Amino acid sequence: MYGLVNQAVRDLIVSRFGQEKWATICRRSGVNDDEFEAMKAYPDHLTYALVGSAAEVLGADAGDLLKAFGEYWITFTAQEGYGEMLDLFGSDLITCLKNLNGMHAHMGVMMPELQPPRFQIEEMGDKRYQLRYFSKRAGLAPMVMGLLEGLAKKHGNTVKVQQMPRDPAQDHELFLIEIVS
Amino acid sequence: MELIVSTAALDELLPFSCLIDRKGVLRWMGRSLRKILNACGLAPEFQAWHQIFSVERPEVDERQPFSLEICLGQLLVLRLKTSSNLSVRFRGQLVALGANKEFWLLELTPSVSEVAQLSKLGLSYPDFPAGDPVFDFLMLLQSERRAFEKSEKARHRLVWENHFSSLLHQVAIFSAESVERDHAIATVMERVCVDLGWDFAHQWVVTDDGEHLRSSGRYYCPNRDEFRGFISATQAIELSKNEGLPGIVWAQGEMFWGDDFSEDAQFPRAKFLPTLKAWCGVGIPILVGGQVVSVLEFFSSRHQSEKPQLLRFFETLGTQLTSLVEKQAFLVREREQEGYLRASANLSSLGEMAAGISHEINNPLATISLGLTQMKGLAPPADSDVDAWKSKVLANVDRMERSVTRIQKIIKGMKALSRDGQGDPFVAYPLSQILEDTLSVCATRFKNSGIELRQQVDDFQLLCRPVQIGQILLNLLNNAVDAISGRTDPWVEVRAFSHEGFGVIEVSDCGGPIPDEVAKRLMTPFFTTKELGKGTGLGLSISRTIAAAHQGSFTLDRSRSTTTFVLKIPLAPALSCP
Repeated sequence: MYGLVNQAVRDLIVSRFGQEKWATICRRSGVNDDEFEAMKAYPDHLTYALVGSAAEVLGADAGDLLKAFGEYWITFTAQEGYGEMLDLFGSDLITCLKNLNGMHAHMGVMMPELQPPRFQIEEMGDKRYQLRYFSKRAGLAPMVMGLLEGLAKKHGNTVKVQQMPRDPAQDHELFLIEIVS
Repeated sequence: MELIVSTAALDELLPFSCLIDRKGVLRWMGRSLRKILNACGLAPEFQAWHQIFSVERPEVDERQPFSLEICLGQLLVLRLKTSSNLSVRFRGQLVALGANKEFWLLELTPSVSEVAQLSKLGLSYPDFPAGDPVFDFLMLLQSERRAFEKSEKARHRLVWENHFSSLLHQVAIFSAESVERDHAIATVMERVCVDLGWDFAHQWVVTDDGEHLRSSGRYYCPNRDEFRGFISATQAIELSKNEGLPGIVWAQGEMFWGDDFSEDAQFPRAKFLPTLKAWCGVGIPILVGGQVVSVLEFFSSRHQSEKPQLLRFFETLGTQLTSLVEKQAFLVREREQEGYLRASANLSSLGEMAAGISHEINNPLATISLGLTQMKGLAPPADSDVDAWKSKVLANVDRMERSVTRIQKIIKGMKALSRDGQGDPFVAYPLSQILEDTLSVCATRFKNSGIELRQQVDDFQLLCRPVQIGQILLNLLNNAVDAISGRTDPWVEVRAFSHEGFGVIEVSDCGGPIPDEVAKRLMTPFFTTKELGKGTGLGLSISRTIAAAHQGSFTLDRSRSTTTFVLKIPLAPALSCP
């Protein structure tokens, strides 16, 4: 994953739990240098190690942490100067979700090693949607739930997101989104 | 081959383009172009293309009638003719359509260099053809700009960090070299204000009763006219704990920063601040032994964009000043301690001579007593013996007068030698007078110990604190008596002469040279070879300190076969000048 993701993990932990906890998490994950370069690709296992250690050190569930991280990612990218860019891909939640694949495709220009996920959104009526999430990386579904909630908040919506049990025959995760307000 | 394309497909493929007929009238317009025209307040009805666009590229000769055909095969840059403040350019090309060129296609795309331009035009990703490279371009640009901003921020931060650390370095050096605390604080306030461009700095001190803060009277303010009212208010007011900026710092014992005190009801002096400005301020405590003894405050009307670095700077400054003040307090205590020790050593020297001195005083007192007894017993003279009687009386009176003078001298010498002369001014003073005062209190000790006192003294004036020089000599003479008492034919010699601007006083005795191991430690405080309770071990070290304070020296001359101490003190100017 790109350094920008690791930077966001660091920011989330430091802002909510303090520098000392972050230092402990780094030590436990064997990360000696936490000055991640935003546009440099780092091995995925490093990010997984950080999240795993954070769960241990903070006594939190890794899924809950990933969900919190997903929501924080929207805030973080906005403060890192990508908010305006994100706005271009949709002025409402659903347009934005529909254009996520396009956004990731264009991001590939500046991040050539990007391995973005793919999304498919389908309207079910009555402000209910199905979102299919395809990714080469395992275990990040809770992060998607956080992302969806963060995106909804950014557009002034409240959503209920439900992850459906995974069908072993399928290559994706399925989420049900209901726009409550 | 003829291909028929629907306008709906054109809308998807070429949303910013338009079709023109041979007369130059717009016949079709892409959905995103229509959106832009709306955003710019231009009616998107079909009209002549040149009413909507002006041509920037290729360059055309305005005197010649314009023909679209000259644009064929060239990069076309068009600007939207709009009265709104939006500047919209398009890039693209002109393509002739149809066998007879019935239509011209203006294939355009908006020329954008930042995301904000699109937002202003109300455009977003869906308004562009899928995969339009403009988004690649914008992504790269945004990324580049972000990296540049970050590096600029980092550079800016480094410049400030460097600036702050250089200033702190200067303050540290200045504090280390500074002898006078109040002067140091005044200078630090000035340097900080000048370097950081702050407007006002001031020092508060805790009152003696510990109840309030009051102005120390020290402040720095380059623009006194503007601050006249504020300075007067500051100097007149006393603040309790938690009152105003200094009161908060005092109560909390920590630095306190305020972004704007001019509107702060908790800031009693707010109304005196120069108006129409937002005054940020910071207060830093100076502590001694963990207690706030003083508070420095700084104010500035400028926006402080480097607040995090400034906070770190002021915090470190507070620590440095605390360390300076604690160092000064330690030095004061040390000086007091040194004074006590010196006084104790002087009294010890006198104590050692107490028996001799009482004997010295008793002798003239006995003379006086005898004289008075004799005078009482004198029979009234017969007329013929008046002269003889008178001469007997006068002889008695003379003896008694001499005895009184002798006692006065001893008391004068004792008074002089028991005082701590450290605060005395340096004056031109004759060595002979110093020696006389000194010998007056120790001559008996020499006599009683059977020690011969030899003197070869040239008289000259020293630039000195006479009491302190007397203390050195007394100390040396006493040490000599202690060292040689009981020897055969003991003697002590005092030699004094001038040499190269110094008065050189040598005190030797008949004792042999001092052993090396003793000589090495001789000037060490509390080192003594005397028996317990007899010496403080401070005499020689204090003598050396006194000599150094006189810009002179005090040494043991180990080249001699006898014990010889050499004291060198600068001559008073009249003699030292050739």
